[in-house]
Amino acid sequence: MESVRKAMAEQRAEDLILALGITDPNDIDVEDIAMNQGALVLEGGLTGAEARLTASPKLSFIRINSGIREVGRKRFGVAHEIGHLVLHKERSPLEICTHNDIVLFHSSNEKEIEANSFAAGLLMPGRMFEPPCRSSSPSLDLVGQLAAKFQVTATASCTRYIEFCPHRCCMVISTRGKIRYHRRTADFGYFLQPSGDVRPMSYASELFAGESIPSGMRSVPAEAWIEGTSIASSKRILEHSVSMPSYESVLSLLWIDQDIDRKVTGEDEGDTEEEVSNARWSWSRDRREER
Amino acid sequence: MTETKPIRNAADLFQRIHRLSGEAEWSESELRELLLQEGIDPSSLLESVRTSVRTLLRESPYYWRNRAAALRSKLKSRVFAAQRRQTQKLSRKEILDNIKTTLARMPPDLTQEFSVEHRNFEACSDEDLESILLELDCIENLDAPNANE
Repeated sequence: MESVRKAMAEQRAEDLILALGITDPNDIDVEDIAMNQGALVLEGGLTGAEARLTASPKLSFIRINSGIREVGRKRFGVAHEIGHLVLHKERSPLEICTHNDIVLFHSSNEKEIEANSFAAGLLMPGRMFEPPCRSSSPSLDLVGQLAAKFQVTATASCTRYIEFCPHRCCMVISTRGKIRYHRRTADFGYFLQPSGDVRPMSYASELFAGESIPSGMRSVPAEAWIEGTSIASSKRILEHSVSMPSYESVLSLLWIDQDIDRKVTGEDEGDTEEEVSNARWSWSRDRREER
Repeated sequence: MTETKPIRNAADLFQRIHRLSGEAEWSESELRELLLQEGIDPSSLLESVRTSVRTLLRESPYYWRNRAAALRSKLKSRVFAAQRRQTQKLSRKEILDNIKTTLARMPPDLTQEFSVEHRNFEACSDEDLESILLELDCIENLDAPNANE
Protein backbone atom coordinates (compact mmCIF):
# COMPACT_ATOMS: atom_id res chain seq x y z
CA MET A 1 0.00 0.00 0.00
CA GLU A 2 2.86 2.32 0.90
CA SER A 3 4.47 1.76 -2.49
CA VAL A 4 1.20 2.67 -4.23
CA ARG A 5 0.97 5.92 -2.30
CA LYS A 6 4.61 6.68 -3.07
CA ALA A 7 4.04 5.97 -6.77
CA MET A 8 0.97 8.19 -6.80
CA ALA A 9 2.86 11.03 -5.12
CA GLU A 10 5.65 10.70 -7.64
CA GLN A 11 3.16 10.64 -10.50
CA ARG A 12 1.56 13.86 -9.24
CA ALA A 13 4.96 15.53 -9.42
CA GLU A 14 5.65 14.21 -12.89
CA ASP A 15 2.21 15.38 -14.03
CA LEU A 16 2.99 18.84 -12.70
CA ILE A 17 6.30 18.92 -14.60
CA LEU A 18 4.46 17.85 -17.75
CA ALA A 19 1.68 20.42 -17.26
CA LEU A 20 4.27 23.17 -16.87
CA GLY A 21 5.90 22.12 -20.15
CA ILE A 22 9.29 21.42 -18.54
CA THR A 23 11.44 19.19 -20.70
CA ASP A 24 14.93 20.05 -19.50
CA PRO A 25 16.33 19.47 -15.98
CA ASN A 26 17.81 22.99 -16.06
CA ASP A 27 14.28 24.38 -16.20
CA ILE A 28 13.22 22.75 -12.93
CA ASP A 29 13.29 25.93 -10.88
CA VAL A 30 11.71 25.01 -7.55
CA GLU A 31 11.07 28.62 -6.53
CA ASP A 32 9.10 29.28 -9.72
CA ILE A 33 7.20 26.01 -9.36
CA ALA A 34 6.40 26.80 -5.71
CA MET A 35 5.11 30.23 -6.69
CA ASN A 36 3.05 28.66 -9.45
CA GLN A 37 1.47 26.55 -6.70
CA GLY A 38 0.90 29.64 -4.53
CA ALA A 39 3.92 29.46 -2.22
CA LEU A 40 6.67 32.02 -1.78
CA VAL A 41 10.06 30.53 -0.96
CA LEU A 42 12.14 32.39 1.62
CA GLU A 43 15.46 31.52 3.13
CA GLY A 44 16.19 32.14 6.81
CA GLY A 45 13.97 32.90 9.77
CA LEU A 46 14.02 29.22 10.64
CA THR A 47 16.38 27.50 13.03
CA GLY A 48 14.42 24.72 14.66
CA ALA A 49 13.81 22.75 11.49
CA GLU A 50 15.11 22.13 7.99
CA ALA A 51 12.07 23.55 6.20
CA ARG A 52 8.62 24.83 6.99
CA LEU A 53 5.42 25.20 5.06
CA THR A 54 2.93 27.78 6.21
CA ALA A 55 -0.11 27.09 4.10
CA SER A 56 -3.05 29.37 3.55
CA PRO A 57 -5.68 29.66 0.84
CA LYS A 58 -4.36 33.11 -0.09
CA LEU A 59 -0.64 32.64 -0.01
CA SER A 60 1.67 30.00 1.38
CA PHE A 61 5.25 30.31 2.56
CA ILE A 62 8.03 27.80 2.28
CA ARG A 63 10.96 28.62 4.52
CA ILE A 64 14.31 26.93 4.23
CA ASN A 65 16.86 26.95 7.00
CA SER A 66 19.67 29.27 5.92
CA GLY A 67 22.20 26.96 7.57
CA ILE A 68 21.82 24.46 4.73
CA ARG A 69 24.77 24.90 2.42
CA GLU A 70 24.18 22.44 -0.40
CA VAL A 71 21.99 23.65 -3.25
CA GLY A 72 20.72 20.10 -3.78
CA ARG A 73 19.51 19.82 -0.19
CA LYS A 74 17.79 23.21 -0.36
CA ARG A 75 16.06 22.26 -3.58
CA PHE A 76 14.94 18.96 -2.10
CA GLY A 77 13.59 20.77 0.96
CA VAL A 78 11.55 23.14 -1.20
CA ALA A 79 10.31 20.32 -3.43
CA HIS A 80 9.34 18.32 -0.32
CA GLU A 81 7.23 21.23 0.99
CA ILE A 82 5.62 21.69 -2.45
CA GLY A 83 4.74 18.00 -2.07
CA HIS A 84 2.89 18.72 1.18
CA LEU A 85 1.14 21.66 -0.47
CA VAL A 86 -0.02 19.65 -3.48
CA LEU A 87 -0.72 16.30 -1.83
CA HIS A 88 -1.93 17.01 1.66
CA LYS A 89 -4.81 19.40 1.49
CA GLU A 90 -6.08 18.20 4.84
CA ARG A 91 -2.84 18.99 6.52
CA SER A 92 -2.04 20.17 9.96
CA PRO A 93 -1.88 23.90 9.39
CA LEU A 94 1.80 24.49 9.98
CA GLU A 95 4.07 21.94 8.41
CA ILE A 96 7.49 22.03 9.99
CA CYS A 97 9.83 19.42 8.63
CA THR A 98 12.87 18.32 10.52
CA HIS A 99 16.07 17.19 8.87
CA ASN A 100 15.10 13.56 9.31
CA ASP A 101 11.79 14.10 7.54
CA ILE A 102 13.50 15.47 4.49
CA VAL A 103 16.39 13.08 4.13
CA LEU A 104 15.06 10.45 1.79
CA PHE A 105 15.91 7.36 3.76
CA HIS A 106 14.96 8.47 7.26
CA SER A 107 11.31 9.24 7.00
CA SER A 108 8.84 7.10 8.76
CA ASN A 109 5.76 9.32 8.76
CA GLU A 110 3.50 8.39 5.85
CA LYS A 111 3.00 11.99 4.70
CA GLU A 112 6.69 12.73 4.89
CA ILE A 113 7.46 9.68 2.77
CA GLU A 114 4.90 10.83 0.20
CA ALA A 115 6.37 14.34 0.19
CA ASN A 116 9.81 12.82 -0.39
CA SER A 117 8.52 10.73 -3.29
CA PHE A 118 6.90 13.84 -4.73
CA ALA A 119 10.19 15.74 -4.38
CA ALA A 120 12.11 12.94 -6.13
CA GLY A 121 9.59 12.95 -9.00
CA LEU A 122 9.66 16.73 -9.27
CA LEU A 123 13.44 17.14 -9.25
CA MET A 124 14.30 13.95 -11.14
CA PRO A 125 11.35 13.18 -13.45
CA GLY A 126 11.50 9.61 -14.69
CA ARG A 127 11.32 10.47 -18.36
CA MET A 128 14.44 12.65 -18.02
CA PHE A 129 16.28 10.63 -15.38
CA GLU A 130 15.68 7.07 -16.55
CA PRO A 131 17.35 7.03 -20.02
CA PRO A 132 20.92 7.71 -18.80
CA CYS A 133 20.45 5.13 -16.01
CA ARG A 134 19.56 2.48 -18.56
CA SER A 135 22.29 3.28 -21.06
CA SER A 136 25.36 3.32 -18.80
CA SER A 137 27.15 0.88 -16.53
CA PRO A 138 26.60 1.41 -12.79
CA SER A 139 29.08 3.75 -11.12
CA LEU A 140 29.07 6.62 -8.68
CA ASP A 141 30.57 8.75 -11.46
CA LEU A 142 27.29 8.40 -13.32
CA VAL A 143 25.38 9.11 -10.10
CA GLY A 144 27.51 12.24 -9.62
CA GLN A 145 26.90 13.40 -13.18
CA LEU A 146 23.17 12.96 -12.70
CA ALA A 147 23.34 14.81 -9.37
CA ALA A 148 25.02 17.75 -11.11
CA LYS A 149 22.62 17.72 -14.05
CA PHE A 150 19.51 17.59 -11.86
CA GLN A 151 20.99 19.76 -9.08
CA VAL A 152 20.32 17.26 -6.32
CA THR A 153 22.52 15.66 -3.67
CA ALA A 154 24.54 12.55 -4.47
CA THR A 155 22.36 10.61 -2.02
CA ALA A 156 19.12 11.70 -3.71
CA SER A 157 20.59 10.95 -7.13
CA CYS A 158 21.78 7.50 -6.04
CA THR A 159 18.43 6.65 -4.44
CA ARG A 160 16.66 7.58 -7.66
CA TYR A 161 19.27 5.75 -9.71
CA ILE A 162 18.46 2.51 -7.91
CA GLU A 163 14.82 2.86 -9.03
CA PHE A 164 15.79 2.82 -12.70
CA CYS A 165 19.01 0.82 -12.72
CA PRO A 166 18.71 -2.27 -14.96
CA HIS A 167 21.53 -4.09 -13.11
CA ARG A 168 21.68 -5.91 -9.77
CA CYS A 169 22.76 -2.98 -7.63
CA CYS A 170 22.48 -1.73 -4.08
CA MET A 171 23.32 1.67 -2.61
CA VAL A 172 24.60 1.78 0.94
CA ILE A 173 25.03 4.72 3.28
CA SER A 174 27.32 4.02 6.18
CA THR A 175 28.03 6.43 8.99
CA ARG A 176 30.93 6.15 11.42
CA GLY A 177 31.62 2.59 10.31
CA LYS A 178 28.05 1.32 10.55
CA ILE A 179 25.60 0.58 7.75
CA ARG A 180 22.83 3.09 8.19
CA TYR A 181 20.65 2.50 5.16
CA HIS A 182 20.57 0.53 1.97
CA ARG A 183 18.31 0.41 -1.04
CA ARG A 184 18.40 -2.36 -3.60
CA THR A 185 17.18 -2.97 -7.11
CA ALA A 186 14.33 -5.47 -7.19
CA ASP A 187 16.58 -8.28 -8.44
CA PHE A 188 19.56 -7.64 -6.15
CA GLY A 189 18.53 -10.69 -4.19
CA TYR A 190 20.37 -10.15 -0.90
CA PHE A 191 19.85 -8.18 2.26
CA LEU A 192 22.50 -6.23 4.07
CA GLN A 193 22.55 -6.35 7.81
CA PRO A 194 20.87 -3.12 9.01
CA SER A 195 23.05 -1.23 11.52
CA GLY A 196 25.78 -3.79 11.00
CA ASP A 197 29.44 -2.85 10.99
CA VAL A 198 31.06 -2.07 7.67
CA ARG A 199 33.27 -5.09 7.12
CA PRO A 200 37.05 -4.73 6.91
CA MET A 201 37.12 -6.41 3.50
CA SER A 202 35.24 -3.52 1.89
CA TYR A 203 36.67 -0.36 0.38
CA ALA A 204 34.21 1.62 2.51
CA SER A 205 36.01 0.42 5.64
CA GLU A 206 39.28 1.75 4.23
CA LEU A 207 37.69 5.15 3.71
CA PHE A 208 36.54 5.11 7.34
CA ALA A 209 40.11 4.26 8.30
CA GLY A 210 41.22 7.41 6.49
CA GLU A 211 42.95 5.55 3.69
CA SER A 212 42.72 6.58 0.05
CA ILE A 213 41.25 4.07 -2.35
CA PRO A 214 41.31 3.77 -6.13
CA SER A 215 38.34 5.40 -7.83
CA GLY A 216 35.71 3.53 -9.78
CA MET A 217 34.11 0.14 -9.44
CA ARG A 218 36.46 -2.36 -7.78
CA SER A 219 36.16 -6.07 -7.18
CA VAL A 220 35.65 -7.24 -3.57
CA PRO A 221 34.60 -10.59 -2.11
CA ALA A 222 30.81 -10.82 -2.09
CA GLU A 223 30.97 -11.54 1.63
CA ALA A 224 32.47 -8.08 2.21
CA TRP A 225 28.92 -6.83 1.96
CA ILE A 226 26.42 -9.61 1.71
CA GLU A 227 25.97 -12.98 3.26
CA GLY A 228 23.72 -15.94 2.97
CA THR A 229 23.81 -19.62 2.39
CA SER A 230 23.14 -19.14 -1.31
CA ILE A 231 26.34 -17.18 -1.99
CA ALA A 232 29.30 -19.06 -3.25
CA SER A 233 32.12 -18.09 -0.89
CA SER A 234 34.74 -17.40 -3.54
CA LYS A 235 32.48 -15.09 -5.52
CA ARG A 236 33.13 -11.41 -5.94
CA ILE A 237 31.02 -8.34 -6.52
CA LEU A 238 31.90 -4.78 -7.50
CA GLU A 239 32.01 -1.83 -5.11
CA HIS A 240 32.40 1.88 -5.72
CA SER A 241 32.64 3.94 -2.56
CA VAL A 242 33.12 7.65 -1.97
CA SER A 243 33.60 9.51 1.26
CA MET A 244 31.13 12.17 2.41
CA PRO A 245 33.24 13.78 5.14
CA SER A 246 30.68 16.47 6.11
CA TYR A 247 28.34 13.69 7.19
CA GLU A 248 31.04 11.31 8.49
CA SER A 249 29.57 8.91 5.98
CA VAL A 250 30.49 6.81 2.98
CA LEU A 251 28.24 6.28 -0.02
CA SER A 252 28.74 2.89 -1.68
CA LEU A 253 27.29 1.43 -4.83
CA LEU A 254 27.44 -2.36 -5.06
CA TRP A 255 26.99 -4.23 -8.32
CA ILE A 256 26.53 -7.97 -8.70
CA ASP A 257 27.92 -8.20 -12.21
CA GLN A 258 28.21 -11.99 -12.35
CA ASP A 259 26.37 -15.02 -11.09
CA ILE A 260 27.27 -15.34 -7.42
CA ASP A 261 24.34 -17.48 -6.38
CA ARG A 262 25.26 -20.94 -5.23
CA LYS A 263 23.74 -23.61 -7.40
CA VAL A 264 22.36 -26.78 -5.85
CA THR A 265 25.31 -28.69 -7.24
CA GLY A 266 27.60 -25.69 -7.23
CA GLU A 267 31.38 -25.62 -7.04
CA ASP A 268 31.41 -24.15 -3.54
CA GLU A 269 28.90 -26.48 -2.01
CA GLY A 270 31.56 -28.37 -0.14
CA ASP A 271 33.38 -25.33 1.25
CA THR A 272 34.46 -25.85 4.80
CA GLU A 273 34.86 -23.09 7.35
CA GLU A 274 38.61 -23.35 6.90
CA GLU A 275 38.31 -22.86 3.15
CA VAL A 276 36.18 -19.79 3.72
CA SER A 277 38.80 -18.23 5.97
CA ASN A 278 41.47 -19.07 3.45
CA ALA A 279 39.43 -17.27 0.85
CA ARG A 280 39.39 -14.18 3.09
CA TRP A 281 43.14 -14.43 3.54
CA SER A 282 43.69 -14.80 -0.21
CA TRP A 283 41.54 -11.81 -0.83
CA SER A 284 43.69 -9.65 1.47
CA ARG A 285 46.76 -10.86 -0.33
CA ASP A 286 45.19 -10.15 -3.72
CA ARG A 287 44.33 -6.65 -2.61
CA ARG A 288 47.91 -6.00 -1.58
CA GLU A 289 49.11 -7.27 -4.95
CA GLU A 290 46.63 -5.05 -6.75
CA ARG A 291 48.30 -1.90 -5.39
CA MET B 1 7.14 19.52 -63.87
CA THR B 2 5.62 21.84 -61.32
CA GLU B 3 7.27 25.22 -61.07
CA THR B 4 7.77 26.20 -57.46
CA LYS B 5 6.80 29.78 -56.70
CA PRO B 6 8.87 31.46 -54.01
CA ILE B 7 7.18 31.85 -50.61
CA ARG B 8 7.13 35.53 -49.72
CA ASN B 9 5.83 35.50 -46.18
CA ALA B 10 4.19 33.38 -43.45
CA ALA B 11 0.68 34.05 -44.80
CA ASP B 12 1.79 32.80 -48.18
CA LEU B 13 3.24 29.69 -46.60
CA PHE B 14 0.14 28.83 -44.59
CA GLN B 15 -2.13 29.53 -47.59
CA ARG B 16 -0.12 27.05 -49.56
CA ILE B 17 -0.30 24.42 -46.80
CA HIS B 18 -4.05 25.05 -46.48
CA ARG B 19 -4.57 24.71 -50.20
CA LEU B 20 -2.55 21.50 -50.35
CA SER B 21 -4.29 19.88 -47.40
CA GLY B 22 -7.71 20.98 -48.63
CA GLU B 23 -7.33 19.32 -52.01
CA ALA B 24 -7.61 15.75 -50.80
CA GLU B 25 -7.20 13.49 -47.85
CA TRP B 26 -3.49 12.97 -47.64
CA SER B 27 -1.57 10.48 -45.71
CA GLU B 28 1.26 11.92 -43.62
CA SER B 29 3.92 10.65 -45.99
CA GLU B 30 2.04 11.93 -49.06
CA LEU B 31 1.65 15.35 -47.49
CA ARG B 32 5.28 15.39 -46.51
CA GLU B 33 6.30 14.52 -50.08
CA LEU B 34 4.01 17.11 -51.57
CA LEU B 35 5.27 19.81 -49.25
CA LEU B 36 8.80 18.96 -50.29
CA GLN B 37 7.77 19.21 -53.97
CA GLU B 38 6.36 22.66 -53.20
CA GLY B 39 9.69 23.68 -51.73
CA ILE B 40 8.64 23.41 -48.09
CA ASP B 41 10.74 21.26 -45.78
CA PRO B 42 8.22 19.93 -43.20
CA SER B 43 10.90 19.24 -40.58
CA SER B 44 12.37 22.75 -40.82
CA LEU B 45 8.87 24.21 -40.78
CA LEU B 46 7.97 22.28 -37.65
CA GLU B 47 11.17 23.25 -35.90
CA SER B 48 10.72 26.88 -36.90
CA VAL B 49 7.13 26.91 -35.56
CA ARG B 50 8.28 25.23 -32.32
CA THR B 51 11.08 27.76 -31.88
CA SER B 52 8.68 30.64 -32.49
CA VAL B 53 6.18 29.23 -29.99
CA ARG B 54 8.93 28.74 -27.40
CA THR B 55 10.18 32.29 -27.92
CA LEU B 56 6.69 33.76 -27.72
CA LEU B 57 5.98 31.75 -24.59
CA ARG B 58 9.15 32.78 -22.84
CA GLU B 59 8.53 36.43 -23.63
CA SER B 60 4.86 36.40 -22.74
CA PRO B 61 3.88 37.94 -19.39
CA TYR B 62 1.25 35.18 -19.19
CA TYR B 63 3.84 32.40 -19.29
CA TRP B 64 3.71 30.69 -15.89
CA ARG B 65 7.40 31.15 -15.25
CA ASN B 66 7.32 34.89 -15.98
CA ARG B 67 4.22 35.30 -13.84
CA ALA B 68 5.83 33.36 -11.02
CA ALA B 69 9.02 35.42 -11.18
CA ALA B 70 7.10 38.71 -11.21
CA LEU B 71 4.88 37.66 -8.32
CA ARG B 72 7.84 36.39 -6.31
CA SER B 73 9.66 39.66 -6.70
CA LYS B 74 6.58 41.65 -5.69
CA LEU B 75 5.83 39.47 -2.66
CA LYS B 76 9.42 39.39 -1.49
CA SER B 77 9.62 43.16 -1.44
CA ARG B 78 6.42 43.18 0.58
CA VAL B 79 7.81 40.65 3.06
CA PHE B 80 11.03 42.62 3.46
CA ALA B 81 9.04 45.82 4.01
CA ALA B 82 7.01 44.08 6.72
CA GLN B 83 10.26 42.77 8.21
CA ARG B 84 11.63 46.30 8.41
CA ARG B 85 8.50 47.37 10.28
CA GLN B 86 9.18 44.70 12.94
CA THR B 87 11.88 46.79 14.57
CA GLN B 88 10.86 46.16 18.14
CA LYS B 89 12.40 43.06 19.70
CA LEU B 90 9.56 41.11 21.24
CA SER B 91 9.75 38.53 23.97
CA ARG B 92 8.69 34.97 23.22
CA LYS B 93 5.45 35.49 25.11
CA GLU B 94 4.74 38.69 23.15
CA ILE B 95 5.39 36.94 19.83
CA LEU B 96 3.05 34.10 20.77
CA ASP B 97 0.40 36.59 21.95
CA ASN B 98 0.74 38.52 18.67
CA ILE B 99 0.36 35.32 16.67
CA LYS B 100 -2.81 34.49 18.59
CA THR B 101 -4.15 38.05 18.19
CA THR B 102 -3.45 38.03 14.47
CA LEU B 103 -5.17 34.67 14.11
CA ALA B 104 -8.17 35.96 16.03
CA ARG B 105 -8.48 38.90 13.63
CA MET B 106 -8.46 36.72 10.54
CA PRO B 107 -11.59 35.39 8.86
CA PRO B 108 -12.55 31.86 9.96
CA ASP B 109 -11.54 30.22 6.68
CA LEU B 110 -8.02 31.50 7.21
CA THR B 111 -7.78 30.88 10.95
CA GLN B 112 -8.72 27.27 10.37
CA GLU B 113 -5.51 27.02 8.43
CA PHE B 114 -3.48 28.58 11.22
CA SER B 115 -4.22 26.66 14.32
CA VAL B 116 -1.36 27.01 16.75
CA GLU B 117 -1.78 23.40 17.77
CA HIS B 118 1.19 22.02 15.99
CA ARG B 119 3.42 19.18 17.00
CA ASN B 120 6.54 21.30 16.94
CA PHE B 121 5.01 24.65 17.71
CA GLU B 122 6.20 24.93 21.30
CA ALA B 123 9.62 23.72 20.26
CA CYS B 124 9.99 26.55 17.72
CA SER B 125 12.85 28.95 18.36
CA ASP B 126 12.07 32.67 18.83
CA GLU B 127 13.36 33.28 15.31
CA ASP B 128 10.96 30.65 13.97
CA LEU B 129 8.04 32.26 15.80
CA GLU B 130 9.01 35.74 14.55
CA SER B 131 8.99 34.52 10.96
CA ILE B 132 5.60 32.85 11.48
CA LEU B 133 4.26 36.16 12.80
CA LEU B 134 5.73 37.95 9.80
CA GLU B 135 4.11 35.49 7.40
CA LEU B 136 0.74 35.88 9.15
CA ASP B 137 1.11 39.63 8.93
CA CYS B 138 1.80 39.41 5.19
CA ILE B 139 -1.14 37.09 4.58
CA GLU B 140 -3.45 39.28 6.64
CA ASN B 141 -2.43 42.38 4.71
CA LEU B 142 -2.46 40.86 1.23
CA ASP B 143 -5.81 42.44 0.41
CA ALA B 144 -5.16 45.70 2.22
CA PRO B 145 -5.73 48.84 0.09
CA ASN B 146 -2.07 49.84 0.33
CA ALA B 147 -0.81 46.31 -0.29
CA ASN B 148 0.63 47.24 -3.65
CA GLU B 149 3.01 49.73 -2.17
